[in-house]
Amino acid sequence: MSADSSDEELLVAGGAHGFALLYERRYPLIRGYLRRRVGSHPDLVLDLVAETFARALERREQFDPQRGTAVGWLVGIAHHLLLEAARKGRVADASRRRLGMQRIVVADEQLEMIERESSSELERSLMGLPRDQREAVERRVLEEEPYAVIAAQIGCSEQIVRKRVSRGLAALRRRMKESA
Amino acid sequence: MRDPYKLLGRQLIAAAERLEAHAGVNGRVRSWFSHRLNASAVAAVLVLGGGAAAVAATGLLSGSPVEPEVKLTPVTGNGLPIAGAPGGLIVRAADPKGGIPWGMRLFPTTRGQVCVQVGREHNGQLGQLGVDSAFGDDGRFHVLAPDALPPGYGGGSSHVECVLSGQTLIFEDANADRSAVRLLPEEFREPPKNPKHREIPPTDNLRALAYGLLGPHAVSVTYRTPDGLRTIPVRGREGAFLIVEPAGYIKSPSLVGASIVGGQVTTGALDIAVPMQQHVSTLISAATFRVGSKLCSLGTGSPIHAACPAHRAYEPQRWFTPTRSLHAPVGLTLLLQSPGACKAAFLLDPCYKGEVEFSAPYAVTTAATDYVIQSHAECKIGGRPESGWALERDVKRHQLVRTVSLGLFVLAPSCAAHESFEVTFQNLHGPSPADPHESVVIGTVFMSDARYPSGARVTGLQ
Repeated sequence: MSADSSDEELLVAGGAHGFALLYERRYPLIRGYLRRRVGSHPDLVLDLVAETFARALERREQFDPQRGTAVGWLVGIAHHLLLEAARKGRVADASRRRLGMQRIVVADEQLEMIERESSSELERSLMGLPRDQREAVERRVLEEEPYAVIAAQIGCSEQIVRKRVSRGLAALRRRMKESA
Repeated sequence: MRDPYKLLGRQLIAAAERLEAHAGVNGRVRSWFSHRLNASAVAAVLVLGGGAAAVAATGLLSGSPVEPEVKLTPVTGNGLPIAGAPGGLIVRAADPKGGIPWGMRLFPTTRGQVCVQVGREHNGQLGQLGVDSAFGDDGRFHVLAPDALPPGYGGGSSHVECVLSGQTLIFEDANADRSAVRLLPEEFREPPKNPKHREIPPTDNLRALAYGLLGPHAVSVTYRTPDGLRTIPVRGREGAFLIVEPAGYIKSPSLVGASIVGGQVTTGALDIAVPMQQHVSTLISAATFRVGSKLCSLGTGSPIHAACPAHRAYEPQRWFTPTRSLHAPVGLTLLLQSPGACKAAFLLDPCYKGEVEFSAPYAVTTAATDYVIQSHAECKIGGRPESGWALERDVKRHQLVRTVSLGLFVLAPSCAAHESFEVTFQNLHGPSPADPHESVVIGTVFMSDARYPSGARVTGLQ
C-alpha cells in the first residue's frame, strides 16, 4: 500500500499502515464536515473525529467498495455519531474504549488555533456567505441532498433553494478569485 | 505545538496494529460472538425462505434462550422491564421469503425507557433463529426474553433499542440477518481464542429491515420496496412500525451496518430526521404526521406533500448546558497508574486517573437524569483527563458518589490551578413532576485541590 492507493484499497486491504494513510488523507474532510455542523466547539469536533475513525477502524471489514466510496462511508459514520451525540448530549467513546485508545489531551486555545490554521480558504469563504445561501450550498453541494428534501425541510420551494445555491456558488467564486 | 490530530493518528495506528495482532482478520468476513462460536456446530435443515418454507413454524424446535449481554439491574442503564406492564407483540410483518413472521414488542422499563425488541415470531414469542452461522446453525428458535436489553443506553447485539419516553427512533439495515441477530462492532471485544468467521450470507438470505417509533403525532411511514414506494400506517401511541423486505434493492454504502436516527417530539415541532442520507439510498423515505389539524410530512415520497415544521436533528441544540452552579464541594483523589498504562496512552510516567467524590443533591431514578463529570483544562501543558463520563445509574438524594475517570492524565503542577473536574446534574427532558430539577452544575474541583489515596495533599503544587 502506498500513498497512490485509493481510499477503498487502503481501507479494505491496507492493514494498519493503510488505515494510517487513509486517516492522514481524509481526516481534514471529516473534520470540516463536523465543524460545519458543530460550530466553534473544536474539542467536540476532535472528539467526534476521533470516534469516527475509531469506529471505522473497528468496522473496516464491513465496508464494501461495491456499494460506495470510503469517504461516503466515513461521512456516514460521522453523521450518525453526531446525531447520537445530539440525542444523548455527549460524544460516544465506546469504540475508542474498546480499542484501548485514550482521549487526546490538549488545551482549548491550542485546538482553536489549529482549527483556524487548518480551515481552508473555501470554508472561510463559505462562512462569509449569508446564512440561507450557506445552508443551501452546504446541503446541496457538499452533502448532495436532493433539492426537494432541502426545500421541504427549510419550508420553501425548490426554485428558491436552487436560486440560493446558484447565488451562493457565484459569491464563492467571486471571493475565491479576489483572494487569489 | 502538539497537533492533536497527529496524536490521534498515532493512537489509531497503535490500535490498528493491536487489532491485527489480536484477531488476525483478513478478507471480507464477519465474525460472531463467542457464545455463538461455542455452540455446537450442528448442521440443520433450514426452515426459512425459499423451498423450505413449508417446514416452518410448527416444525421449529426450541433452542437455548438468547443470553443477555450483561446481567442488568433495575437501577442501572436501561433498567429492567416493568413486571406486569403491557408489552405484548403489537406489530407484525410477514417475512418476504415465506419464513415465520417478524414481530416487534414495546415495553417500559424501571428507568423510564421505552424499549423496542424485534425478532422472528413463533408461538407468540419473539426470538432468533439458528441459521447462517448463528447459534451454530442449529436450526432452532431461540427465545428473546424481555430482559435481554442492551448493557448501556441505546442498542445491543439483538434488535433491541431503548429510548427515553418521548424520543423517537428510526432503525434500518438494508442487509439484516434473517436470523434476527444483529451484528455490532462489539464483536471485536474479547475476540475468541480460536476465531472463526463466516462469509456474508447470499443476498437471498438477507432482509431489508426497518423499525422504529415516530411518536404520537405520526400517521404513516413511507418506504422503498423493490416495486416502488409504499406507505403504511403506524401503530399505537408510540407511532410504531416494522418493515421487512427482501434485501438487495437498497444500495447502502456498507454491506453490514445499520443506521439509527433519534429525535424528539415536542409540542408544535418534530425534531426527527428521516434517514434520507445524502450519499445513500435508504429504506425509509418519508414519514407523515398530524400536527394540530393538519397533515404534513418529512422526507420525500409521502402522499402528503406539505412539509412539517421540523428542526434539523443534527444541530447540537440539546447540549444540556446548565445555567447556574450550586458550588457544592467536590473531592478528587489521584490514583497512580502503571508505567505501561501511561506509555500506552502516550503520557509521561507518572500518570493518574482521578476519583471524583461528591454528595448528590438530587436523586436519579430514571435514564432521563444523570450525573455527568466533565473535565476542563485551560493550560497549554499538562493533561486533560478526558471530556467526560456519566454515572448511568440511580443515585439516592444525599448519597456519597465516588466515580473514577476512564482516561488517564499527567499532573502538571504549574497547570493544576486551571485544570478541573466539574460535576453536573443533567435533566434531558427539562423539569417535570418525575424529575423536577433543572440541569445544574453541582461543583468543581481543581487539580490543585487533589489528594492521594492516603489523604495527603498532592505536594509540589502552588
